[in-house]
Amino acid sequence: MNDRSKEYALPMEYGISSTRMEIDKFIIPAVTIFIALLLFFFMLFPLSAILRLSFFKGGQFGIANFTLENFQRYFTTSYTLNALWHSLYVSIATTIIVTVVIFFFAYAMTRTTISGKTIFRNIIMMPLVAPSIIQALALIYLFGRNGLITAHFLHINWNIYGSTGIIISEVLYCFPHAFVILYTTLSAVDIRLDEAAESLGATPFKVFTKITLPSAKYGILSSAALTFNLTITDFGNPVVIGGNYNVLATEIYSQVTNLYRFDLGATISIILLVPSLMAFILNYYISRKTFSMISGAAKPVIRPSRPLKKVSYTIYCWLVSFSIIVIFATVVIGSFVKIWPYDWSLTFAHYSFPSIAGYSAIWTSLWISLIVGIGGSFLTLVAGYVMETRRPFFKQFIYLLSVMPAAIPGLVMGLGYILAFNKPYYFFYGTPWIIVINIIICNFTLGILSSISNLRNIDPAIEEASISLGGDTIKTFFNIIFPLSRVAFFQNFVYFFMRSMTTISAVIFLVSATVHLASIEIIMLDNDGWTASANAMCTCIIVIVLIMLGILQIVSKKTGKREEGLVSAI
Amino acid sequence: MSKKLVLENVSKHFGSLIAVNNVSLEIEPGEFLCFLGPSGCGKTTILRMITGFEQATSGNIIYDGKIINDVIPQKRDFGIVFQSYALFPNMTVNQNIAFGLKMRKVPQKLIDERVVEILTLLGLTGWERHYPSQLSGGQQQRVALGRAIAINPNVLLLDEPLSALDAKIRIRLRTVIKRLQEELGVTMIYVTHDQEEALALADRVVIMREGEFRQIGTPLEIYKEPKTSFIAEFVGTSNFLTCTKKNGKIQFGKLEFMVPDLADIEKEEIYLAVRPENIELVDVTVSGENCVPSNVVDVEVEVVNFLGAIVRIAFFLEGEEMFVDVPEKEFAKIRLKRKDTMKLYFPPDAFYVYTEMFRKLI
Amino acid sequence: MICVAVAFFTLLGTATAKKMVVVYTSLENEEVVDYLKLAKQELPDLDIQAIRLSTGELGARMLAEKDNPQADCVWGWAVTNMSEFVPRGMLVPYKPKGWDKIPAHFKNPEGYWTAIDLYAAALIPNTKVLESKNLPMPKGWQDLLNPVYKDMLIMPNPASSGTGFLQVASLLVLLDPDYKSKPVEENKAWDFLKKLDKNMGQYIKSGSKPAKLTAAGEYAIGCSFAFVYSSLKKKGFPVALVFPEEGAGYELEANALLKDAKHEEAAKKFLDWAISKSAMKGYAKFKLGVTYPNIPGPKDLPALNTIKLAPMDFPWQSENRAKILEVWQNLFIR
Repeated sequence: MNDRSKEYALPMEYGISSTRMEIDKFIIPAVTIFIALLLFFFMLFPLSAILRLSFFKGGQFGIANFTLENFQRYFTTSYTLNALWHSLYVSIATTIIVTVVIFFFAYAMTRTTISGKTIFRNIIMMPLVAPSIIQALALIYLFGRNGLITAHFLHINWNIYGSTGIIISEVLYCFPHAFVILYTTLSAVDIRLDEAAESLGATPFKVFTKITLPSAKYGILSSAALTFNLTITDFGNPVVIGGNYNVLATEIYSQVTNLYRFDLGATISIILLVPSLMAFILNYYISRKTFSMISGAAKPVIRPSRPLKKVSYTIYCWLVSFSIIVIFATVVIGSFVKIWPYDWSLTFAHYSFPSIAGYSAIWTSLWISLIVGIGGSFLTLVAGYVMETRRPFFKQFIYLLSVMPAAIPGLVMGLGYILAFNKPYYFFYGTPWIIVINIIICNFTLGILSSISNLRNIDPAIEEASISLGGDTIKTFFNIIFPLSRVAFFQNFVYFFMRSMTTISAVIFLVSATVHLASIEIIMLDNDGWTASANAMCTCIIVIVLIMLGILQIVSKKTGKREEGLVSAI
Repeated sequence: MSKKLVLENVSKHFGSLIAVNNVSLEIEPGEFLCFLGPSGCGKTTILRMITGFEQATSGNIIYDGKIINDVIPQKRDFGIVFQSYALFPNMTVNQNIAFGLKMRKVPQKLIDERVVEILTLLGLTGWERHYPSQLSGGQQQRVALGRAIAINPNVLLLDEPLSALDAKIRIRLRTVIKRLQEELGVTMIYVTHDQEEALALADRVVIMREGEFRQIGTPLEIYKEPKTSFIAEFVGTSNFLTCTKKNGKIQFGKLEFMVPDLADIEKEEIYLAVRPENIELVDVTVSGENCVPSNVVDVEVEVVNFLGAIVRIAFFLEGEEMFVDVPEKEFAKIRLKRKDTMKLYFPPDAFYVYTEMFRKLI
Repeated sequence: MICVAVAFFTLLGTATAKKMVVVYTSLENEEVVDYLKLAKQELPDLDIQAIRLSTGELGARMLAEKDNPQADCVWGWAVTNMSEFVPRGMLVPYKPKGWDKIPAHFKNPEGYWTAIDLYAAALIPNTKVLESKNLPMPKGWQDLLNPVYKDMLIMPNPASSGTGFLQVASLLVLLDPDYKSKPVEENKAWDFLKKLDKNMGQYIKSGSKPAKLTAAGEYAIGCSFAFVYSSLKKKGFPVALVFPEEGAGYELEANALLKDAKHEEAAKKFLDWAISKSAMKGYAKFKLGVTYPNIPGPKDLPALNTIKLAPMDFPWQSENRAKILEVWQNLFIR
């Protein structure tokens, strides 16, 4: 026994507190239960209210009251049934168009050597910064009954209202979402397979059909499922440009707000849930398969493309990008034009919104989005941490709960919230808080999946190191995991913030006299015929989101430098 | 503070897979003990059970007379150095080392003093405010060490800490670790698959294979008296000869070797192992008259490998390829080349005799 | 961090010493912005939170919130809809200060509601479009059946829009004098509407939007109401105003106090103001007529007594509202 050991000895009174460790035993279970309760109460409970209202007479639960009358009425009334066919038609058409267009766009990004790829990638993501109504607004200005192009350039009678308008708006709206999936898929699939095939004598066409396409099949299916889901649940575009062409989303809204028929609204919600759930399950199933394909391996260098290929793909990408730019340009310019399309003088007049809320709606949207951003990303980080690294009891069950929000259309959630929480003892009803909670829950899934994926990058030994040194769950989380997850946190913050500023479907039922949201004001203004002001409000939202994105770019660049070695030295 | 760590009939099952099979061991306080074995032998599992990150399926882990199977890792006060170092990337060297002390709510002044102490001890002075990503592999490992010893643990556990480093740095850090252990007097439990490392560092080595302890002993004992053919092969190098026992003599092909202590061996097929450095060159490393005639053979040189301090000569004996190591100084006298003949002597007591072979000779 | 934000904003809410009142209205947004400016001046200690919903939506919302009413009072809501709510028990009788000044036919005898104004339907053609497409200027509803107008007309959806409803109701009483003695679906006006439907480009949710879309050149003629014409004309749009020669349908808009209002005192204060002379003067800038006697209407619209109004039957249309809507939906929603 070496006497030197005494020199280095720590005085005995410094040990690991037993009470702290005792409490620590309860932390994970407590957090797990909290998250489960959150999802139960703010997702399943509203959903059950909708189920109750549609399957039971008068919403009274009980075997005697079980009825399919509502569904019967739905399927026998022609105009409500038409909504279903319309929705399916529009969604399928959109899906096909988007998948094909974006596939080649992503192909250009990953398999050709055209220049300007960064620009293209940024442009294709632009629709995310605006509410899903900007497409409709722009298209009306351009192709409406008095559209710039239809009436004034081409002098034709045709206009874009109806299914055509809906399809085109949805196509443009879905571009970014489909792109993310297809881009990742095509990047992950090894280019060398293509090259190997070529070296064996396959023609480019054969390479494409026999190698490239099949290896991307899961990505294509996944992107198609997502597009279908987004389109069939979207409310913003159809309500503006649909005209008399009703779809399930607009039908739910109209039943509830115009005709007082909550039970029918609930019924149609259930009907909307079916295709949306199916698309979601398909997507979920596919994404589990493709997870293994996506590796962090370095991308091999792409062989320079032949000139013809280069030129044609460049033109193609510009065409696609142009369509997006035109939408944004129209809306922004339209907000400054005095009387479109008669008087082209520029003015700020439309920015003094002729509505009760006006700028206060923008302010409300802003601070709600900030809270949603911080709260949502923090919550999903904690939830991801608990789920991924601590494997609590019932992990599978909670995981299932966590991915459910993505399957439920926003409109349905919103309706569920009013049905479920419209009682005096739910103090948060009618306040901004119900909106905050609603938006967080609706977007919970992507947040938690993104957290989990980021947490997987952290060396598990780091947590064990903390534990071996006496760290408990809370200290480990705040001192180590949280700082290391900064990137994930920012990404999630941006995501939640953007969704909160631009969401329409989820919150259309939740705005009240005391809480006005900018995205809904757009619809209100358009309803009243103040289309130019609607464009102005839209522009304001876009500007705010872009500013926030800019701020976050700067912040993340500054803090990113220090911690290069996120994964351990090995 | 003498606290013995005892493993008592410890087993670990993962479903139907038996990772650790009923092992027992007493580790003396202040001892440097090494668990040595190939990948998958269970050595890391044992380490994790001692630290508390795995629960033993059966058996007890006893420390200072108390069973600690259910004590959470935080309360065991053992220091751990991980294979990947697991330094906190978002903290400076100082903060990493101070972490355990902060968890124990040691006053800041004391923490600062202790951190300085440790930095000096490990030669890291001047790197306090650096982040792990700015350090070399060797430096990172030293920080990991520092972090583990900062809390003055009685037992320090190291899980293949040097495997990620370059050979030269590995050797240098080996010295650091050995010196550290001697200075602090802490019980060191070291897991590795590198036998050179184990032999260099440990007071005692535990050879593990397939979840069991095959031999426990000092490095010298393990090296000189490997209990099984596996150990003879795994530790150091050995030549293996498949022989038959006939009429009290060992037959290897057409040769007959004299091997002591054969009486109690009943099997007909036995295996001999002999280390290259124990084979002598007649009239070079041993004088001819001291040789037992039956154990002298003439062989032809196949390949001469110059290894620095020794020369390893490959040759064929009865169709088997074997090696003999000759000190360079001796080799210089004879300068053998390929196709030269050399006379080899296999001293009877240089043979290790085994009745089982761990794998087929290729 | 979230807790801090919560605390901060709750404090912010309670810090305002003003008394809050929550008002639901279906007056036009433009009007409300103007009226509220006036109200804020004259009621400085009230924090007026208002939301504007179309006539139909307002009713739906109040029904949805029946168990947990969020609003304290209703302001400027169609009397047709209001009357339906009296038997539902969602209104509380309250006779605001100055109630006696309002003539009897503009208020509910028990005080459940008090009307503040009257507005009438009008056809709003776009003069430029008529010119460029060589279309005649209509004089009334019958003229609209002219096939040259195919797809060029736009009208509000009577389910959501009060304006739309009053137009349909006015046709039901104008085109079939026996309307009272027969079931709604047999009314002769439906034949007219079926023929009119052939020329209709769209039925749109809002009452004012038909005029605005027409002004923007998307349609030739919008069936809307009078005031929106003057607002558009001021902005420079090429629009004209035509009261249907058969008789212009009109609607009364009224106020009421809601049951279980959370801020009853403040609501009463607001309702008092809402029928005061100064408020009425404010309304008179927009509405064809106000219920307070001797206040003239807007200068750029014809005086009320020069317009032929349709003989509206408010009790009948209120009673049959649901049925009228049902028939309409079945006929015209594709």
